[in-house]
Amino acid sequence: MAKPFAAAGQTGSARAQIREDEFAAQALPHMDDLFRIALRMTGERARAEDAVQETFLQAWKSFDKFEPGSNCKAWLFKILFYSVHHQRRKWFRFPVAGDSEEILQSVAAADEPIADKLTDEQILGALEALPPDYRAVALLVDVEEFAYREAAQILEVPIGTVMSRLSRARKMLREKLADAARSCGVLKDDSLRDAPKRDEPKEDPK
Amino acid sequence: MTQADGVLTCAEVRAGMDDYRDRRMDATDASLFEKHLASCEVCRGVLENRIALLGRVKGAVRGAEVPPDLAHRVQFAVARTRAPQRFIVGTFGKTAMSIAAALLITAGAFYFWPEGDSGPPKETQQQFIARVSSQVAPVMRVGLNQHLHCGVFREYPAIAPALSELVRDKQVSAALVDAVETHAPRGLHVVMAHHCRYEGRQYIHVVARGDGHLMSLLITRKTEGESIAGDLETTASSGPDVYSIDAFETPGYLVYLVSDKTSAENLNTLKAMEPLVKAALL
Repeated sequence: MAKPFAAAGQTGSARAQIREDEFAAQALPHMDDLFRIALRMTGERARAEDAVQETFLQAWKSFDKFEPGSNCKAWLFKILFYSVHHQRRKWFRFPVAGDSEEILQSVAAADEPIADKLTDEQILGALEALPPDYRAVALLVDVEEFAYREAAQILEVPIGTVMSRLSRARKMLREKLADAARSCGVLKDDSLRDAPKRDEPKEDPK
Repeated sequence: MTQADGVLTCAEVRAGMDDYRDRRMDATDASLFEKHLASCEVCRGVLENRIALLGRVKGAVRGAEVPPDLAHRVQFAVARTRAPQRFIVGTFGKTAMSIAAALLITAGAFYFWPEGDSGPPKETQQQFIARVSSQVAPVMRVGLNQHLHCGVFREYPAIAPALSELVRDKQVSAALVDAVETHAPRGLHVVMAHHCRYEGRQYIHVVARGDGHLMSLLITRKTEGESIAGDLETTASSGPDVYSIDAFETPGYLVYLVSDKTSAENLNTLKAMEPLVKAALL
């Protein structure tokens, strides 16, 4: 494999070079995924780039602690979400989502948006309108295909919290997309109206 | 979710679709679920639509374009955290190396022997700038002089601050910093951005360096009647180093790119930066 850091210069140590190569080989392939998730979490390309750079810097600094053979992608995403959460507090941009009844009640019953009638812009707009804690779970599980257990470790919440947030996130997303579809006149089929919930999972206490 | 009569309603099936899709149902419930789906076209359609919707979400998120130079920036950011001596020794041009060494030896006396000279006569920084800049038209000296004064005659920190810090602390437009970082030749990265003053002029100065090269983007307000006319491309030599100077003007500003890159590379770099710089100056 080509040495991604070779152009930046020699380290003066074969051992250091091997370590760099390991880091490059394991971490860099996940950069695009990290950026796309960071973009959806921050809403701005510049901030997403900063978050990704910060993630790799922190990962590099603590690469000694990374256990070979463990899940590098999950490790990087854990650092990314820590970074994004830290930045979020600095930016004061996002209201941190509690499990407000107002939010949950707003998704009690949803029409079904027709997937192939929606544009990417509508989908991304609806996704970004989700409270960030819910959006994070949806991105990790539904986009990056992490297992619940991995998502729970990345976000440092109980697995039950991941499950309940995911369920609610999907429901909220459908509702928001249904609104978007309705405004475009493409939601016609009442037969696809969401059924009343029977056993909505409750969020586990942390 | 198993019902006593072993039959699920449409409402129950739709409430359990996420569990079914994510394989969170036990075998009994899944069997009942599938039994309902087999006989209910509407619920089957809802499930297919929800699965398709999640696919669309995934596709939309993954469709975002990743900045083409992000990997390069990440690598550079990582590289900057180690072996800091590499960024002090070996990344300057030969002349700058001798200047830095001389500055160290003479403890700020600002005398040096340009490499290639065997010794005296000694030359001050001011004399050096005057000698080099005398080779170009006066309007081009405006950029070249400040590159030499503020870019070449400088010791840079071993670890450059993050771009966001430069923008925040030095109050230089992020768009200008980004223009240089994005279009600087491979191996060069922004290490400094600030407002500075030289010979009565105020400049915005963005410096990129790396791989032994140094590049300055300099922006200053036009004075009355000042204009860049004719051939924009020119070069000047200090002896061992050749400086390439290119420029363009807007109604209010003169914009220079000065570097030790080849004339063609310098010009092409400025052309690439021009739209972003002009937009930033609007």
